[in-house]
Amino acid sequence: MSLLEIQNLRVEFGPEKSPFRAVDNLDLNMEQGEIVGIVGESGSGKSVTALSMMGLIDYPGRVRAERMTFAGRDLLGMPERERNSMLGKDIAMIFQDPMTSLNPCFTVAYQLMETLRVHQGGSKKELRAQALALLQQVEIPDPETRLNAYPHQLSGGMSQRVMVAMAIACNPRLLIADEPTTALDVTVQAQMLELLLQLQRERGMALMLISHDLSVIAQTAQRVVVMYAGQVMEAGRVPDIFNAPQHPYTQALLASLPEYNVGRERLKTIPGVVPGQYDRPGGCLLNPRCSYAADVCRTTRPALSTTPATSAAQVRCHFPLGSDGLPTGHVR
Amino acid sequence: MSESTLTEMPGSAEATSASDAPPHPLRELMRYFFQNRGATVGLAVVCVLVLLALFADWVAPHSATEQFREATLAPPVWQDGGSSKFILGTDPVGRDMLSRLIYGTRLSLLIGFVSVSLSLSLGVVLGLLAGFFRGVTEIAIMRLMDVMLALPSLLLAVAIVAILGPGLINAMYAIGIVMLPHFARLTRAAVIGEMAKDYVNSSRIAGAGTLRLMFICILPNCAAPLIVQATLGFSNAILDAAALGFLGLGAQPPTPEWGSMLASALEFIQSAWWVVTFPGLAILISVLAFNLMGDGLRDALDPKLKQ
Amino acid sequence: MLGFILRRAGLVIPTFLGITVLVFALIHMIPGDAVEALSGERGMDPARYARLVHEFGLDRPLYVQYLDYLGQVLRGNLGASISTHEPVLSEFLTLFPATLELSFCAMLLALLVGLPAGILAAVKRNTFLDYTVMGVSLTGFSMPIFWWALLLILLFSVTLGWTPVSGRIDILYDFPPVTGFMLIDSLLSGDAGAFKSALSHLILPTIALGTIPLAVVARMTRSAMLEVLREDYVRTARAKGISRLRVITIHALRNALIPVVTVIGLQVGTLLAGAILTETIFSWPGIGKWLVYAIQRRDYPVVQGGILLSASIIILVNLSVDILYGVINPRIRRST
Repeated sequence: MSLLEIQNLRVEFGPEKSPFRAVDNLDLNMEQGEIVGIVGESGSGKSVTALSMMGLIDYPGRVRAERMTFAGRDLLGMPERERNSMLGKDIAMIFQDPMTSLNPCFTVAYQLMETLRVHQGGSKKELRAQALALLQQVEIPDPETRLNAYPHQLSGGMSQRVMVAMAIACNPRLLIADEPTTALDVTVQAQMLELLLQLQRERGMALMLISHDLSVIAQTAQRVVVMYAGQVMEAGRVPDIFNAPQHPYTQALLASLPEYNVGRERLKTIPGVVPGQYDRPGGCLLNPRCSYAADVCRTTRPALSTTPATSAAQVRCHFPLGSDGLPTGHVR
Repeated sequence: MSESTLTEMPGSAEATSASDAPPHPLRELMRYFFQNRGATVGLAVVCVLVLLALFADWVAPHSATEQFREATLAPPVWQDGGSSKFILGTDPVGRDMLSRLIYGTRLSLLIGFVSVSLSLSLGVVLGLLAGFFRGVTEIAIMRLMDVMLALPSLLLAVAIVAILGPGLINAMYAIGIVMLPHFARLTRAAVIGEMAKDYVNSSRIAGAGTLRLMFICILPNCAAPLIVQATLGFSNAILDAAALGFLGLGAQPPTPEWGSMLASALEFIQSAWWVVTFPGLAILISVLAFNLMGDGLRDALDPKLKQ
Repeated sequence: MLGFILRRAGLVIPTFLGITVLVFALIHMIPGDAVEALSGERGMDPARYARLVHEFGLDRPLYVQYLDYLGQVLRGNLGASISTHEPVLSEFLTLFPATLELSFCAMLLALLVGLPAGILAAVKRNTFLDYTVMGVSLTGFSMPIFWWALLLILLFSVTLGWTPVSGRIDILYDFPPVTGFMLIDSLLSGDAGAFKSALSHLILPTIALGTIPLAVVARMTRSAMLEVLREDYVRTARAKGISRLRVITIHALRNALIPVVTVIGLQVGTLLAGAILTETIFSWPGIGKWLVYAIQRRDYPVVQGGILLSASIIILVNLSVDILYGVINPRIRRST
C-alpha cells in the first residue's frame, strides 16, 4: 500500500452542467519517504490538486475521485473531525507566499504552539520549548527573540522558515510544499530548498514539491509529474523524463530552460498561455501551442498511457516523442 | 515565469477582439447595477417617489391642508368605519393622510436635493482646494472638517437649527452643512490620488491652467465615490430632516412633512395607529430605497468587486 | 505602547481646540447678542445697553473674548443655565449617567446581536440566512428611530402592556442615587422589585437606540469577515488541522475585528445623536432630552456647554478606540 493513492481525481468549479475542470483525471501515488515533483505553468492545477488532498477546496468547488487515500484512510469521505486530527499532523503543507500565510495578529510562538497544542497537547512551558527547538531546526538566527515576533517583523525567508517549522512540528509523513521558494529572493531560494531536503532526509517524510521551475524539480525530486491545464501530461522518473521527454510539452518546457539555451541570443519560449475557463480547446489540450499537432490532436483527447519505450513513464500524447526527440508514428 | 511569453496566438487574439469589444463603461455600469436585485428595486422606488413628487397635484386625491371636519381621525379604508374617500384615513383635524404623504414626498425629496446639492458643491470646492494646494490651506480645511465630524450629525444639525431658528429652509442648510465634511474628505482623497497620476502631469505640461486642471481634468475622475456618497446623502438628509421635523425644529405645521406629521400625531398613538404608522413607513421606504440604490451604485462602480 | 498612546493623545488637543472655536462661533452667529437677549421685547436705552455690553466684555476683540471663554472652559466653568440658574457642568454630570447607561446597553445589544449575525452571514454566504441578516440590517440602518421607538411603544407598552412607556423607574421606588446608574443603584437599594422596574424601563429605549449601531456592526462584521476568510493565513490555519469554529472565532475574527472596532468607535457619535431622539420619546432624563429642552427654551449656555461636553466625550471615546486599535493590531503599534 502506498502512502498516498489518488485515482481519477476531478476538481470542478462552476455550474454542474458545464463545469470548469481545474483538475481532470489525475492519478498519483506516493511512497513513504519519496520526493515527487509536480511541475506546470500557472493555472495548470498543481495547487488545486494539493488543496483538494487537504480538503481545502470549499463549496462551490467539487472534489471527486475514484480513490483518494492516505495511509489507507479515505481522504474524501472522512468526517471533518478526523480530517482535522490528520491535517497538520500526518499531512502538512506550506504555501507560496509566506508573508501572507502567517496570521498578522499573533506571534510566531502562538502560531507554532497552537499547532503543537491541537495535535499533542502539553503544558505551556513544554510547548514553548518545543517551538524554540523547531525554530532552531529550521535554522532561524536568534530563535528566542523571534518567538515573540509578529509576522510583519520577519523577512520573507524568515516567514517561510516559520511556516516550515509549523509544518514539521508534528513529524508529518507527507509534506506538501506549494511553490515554497517562488516568493523568496533568489539568494534565499537555494537555502530554503536545501533546508527542505535536509529535513526530508532526517525525518524520512514524503515530500510533494510543487513548482513551475523545472530546475528545482530536477535537483530534488525522484519522480516528476508534468501537469498542463488540469491534466497529467507526463509522469515518470526524473532522469528518464529529463533526458528523454516523451511529451512535446515537456520537451518545450525543457527547451526553455537557460541551461538548454547556451549560446543563443534569446530563450526559446512556448507561444500562448495555458487555456483558462472559457478557451479550452477540443482534442488535446495542448494542440494550439504544440508544434507537432496533427488533425487527430485537434479532435481526440489522448489518454494517459504507459509507453513501451520506458515502462515506468506515462505520457498523454498521440505521438509520444522517441529517443531522437521527434514524434513517433506521426503523419502530417 | 520562464515559460510564458509575450507573443499572443494570432488566431485567438483576433477572435476575441472581434466579439468582445469592450462595452461602453456606462453600459457596463448599468449591467452590474441591474444584476443587483436590491439596487434595481431601490431605483424603481426612487423613480416612483420622484413621479409622485412631480405630479402630486394630480395624483393626490385631496389637498394636503384641506380639513374635512366631519371626518377627523377616519380609519383607513379596509378598517371598520373607513371610507374610500380617505384611503389611508385622516389625521386629527380631518386632513387626508394619503394626500399629505404624497405632498410630503415632494418636501422630502426637495430637502434631500437642496441639502445634498449644497454640501456637494461646497464640499467639492473645499476638497479640491485642500487636495490641490496642500500646505496650510489643506490643514485649515481638513482640521475644520475633522472637528465637524467629531460632532454627531444630528447634534450638529440641531445646534445649527437652534441658532438659525426652526424651519424648513434652515433645516436644509443645517443638514447640508452637516454632510459637508464627508464630501470634502472624499474629494480631497480622490484628488490627491489622481494628482499623482501621469495624465495630470501631462496636461499640466501641455499648459492647462489651474482651474482647468481642477475641474476638467481631475474632478470627473473623482466622480464615482462622490456619486455614491451623494445617493447615500439623500437618505441621510431625508432621515435627519424627519428627525428635525419630529423634534419641532424642522418644517413647521401645517406643512405636510413626514417627521412633523409624526410629531403632531403622537398623542393619538393609542387611538389611531394609522396617523403614526404611515408617515414613518414613508420615511423608512424612501430611506431604504436610496440606501439600496447607493449600495448598488457603490458595488457597480467599485472596480475591485467587478473581478 | 506608552509612546503610541501619548502620540495619539497629543492629536486630540487640536481637535478639542477646534471644537471650542466652533462652539464659540456658533453662539456668536446667533442674531443679536446676550444683552439684547436679556432686555427682551421691551428694548433698552442706548446708554444702559452700552454699559452692559462693556460689562459682559462684548466690546472687546473677538479673539480676546475667545481666549477668555477658553480660559473659563479649561477651569471647568461652562456658565449657568438661564432657566434653572444651575451651573451647566453640574447639570450635565447629574444627567450624564442616565445617557451613559442607556448608550452602554444599546451598544451591548448591538455587539451581542450584531457581531454573531455578521459572522454567521459571512460564513453562510449567499444562503437564506445571509440574505435575511443583510435585509434586516439594511432596514434597521434605514430606520427612523423615533418612529421605530413609537412602534415599539405601540406594540409592547400599549397593546401587550409588557413594558412601561417612559422614565427610568417606577415612582414607587425611591432610593438615593449612588452611582447615577439606575440598574446599579436599584441593586444597591436591595429591592428586587426596583431592579426589575429599572430593567423593564430600560428595554425599549435600548432596542430603539441600539438598532442602527446593530445594523452597522452586522454589516461591517460581515464584509470584514468575508475579506478575512479569503486570506492565506486562514487557509494556513485550516491546513494546521484547527477546528472550523476555532479558525473562524480566533484566526479570522481577530483580524476582522480591526475594521469593526473603528466602526464601533464611530457609532458612539451615532448613539449620542440617537439619544436626543430616544430620550425625548421615552422621557429618559439624560443629556439628549436636556439639550432638546434647552434649544426649545433658547437656553444658550446649556446648548453651548452641552455640545462642547458631548463633543469632548466623543473625542475621548475615539481616542480610546484608537488605542484599542493599536492593541488588537500589532502592525500599527510599533510603526506609526
